[in-house]
Amino acid sequence: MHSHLVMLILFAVMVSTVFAVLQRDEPREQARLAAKMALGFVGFGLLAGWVMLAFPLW
Amino acid sequence: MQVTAAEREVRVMDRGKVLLLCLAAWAIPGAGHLLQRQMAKGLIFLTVLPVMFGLGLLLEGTLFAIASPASQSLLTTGAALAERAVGLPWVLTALLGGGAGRPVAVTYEYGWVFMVVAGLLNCLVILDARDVALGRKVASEAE
Repeated sequence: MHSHLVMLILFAVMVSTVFAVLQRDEPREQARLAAKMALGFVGFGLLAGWVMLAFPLW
Repeated sequence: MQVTAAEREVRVMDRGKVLLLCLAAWAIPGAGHLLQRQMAKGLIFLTVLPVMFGLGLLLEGTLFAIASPASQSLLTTGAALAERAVGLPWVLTALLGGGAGRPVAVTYEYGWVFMVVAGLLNCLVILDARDVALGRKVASEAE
């Protein structure tokens, strides 16, 4: 499992699930919040990765 | 207002129970919620956090030592403490000699981040269980 995108998605889904379950009580609200947060994580990760293209390591 | 001996005893006992609850929640992620009959929440934590820690191990993450010549950084010590916060998964891994990690592996950084974050999330879960036990947070589930 060397896909960065898969790892990003797995991380986002798991962290979002825990946060949503802690913050909401109704299953439907939990699912909605988890989906929003996971999308935010993945979207921000992709955006940050794209921005970092402008800053090579050397 | 005077507090009777009986009331004081009840308070102390309650604190003791909350402490035991927190210890159970540390040892087994989600146990704090399961013991308070919040079954759905408890089962989700019991599933997600050990899976996250296990994924970290599969990704060749490492069990950090709290203080070793190789890890002089305070950040590494923090990561070591955070990993221990996941409870039983960490204990089992340490006892079975797992979590050696392979710093040259492509997934090494991902691995230890998964393991550290699983521990940090369990800290939040423990605090949530404690708040419910102390009546600071209303438990809406009656499962």
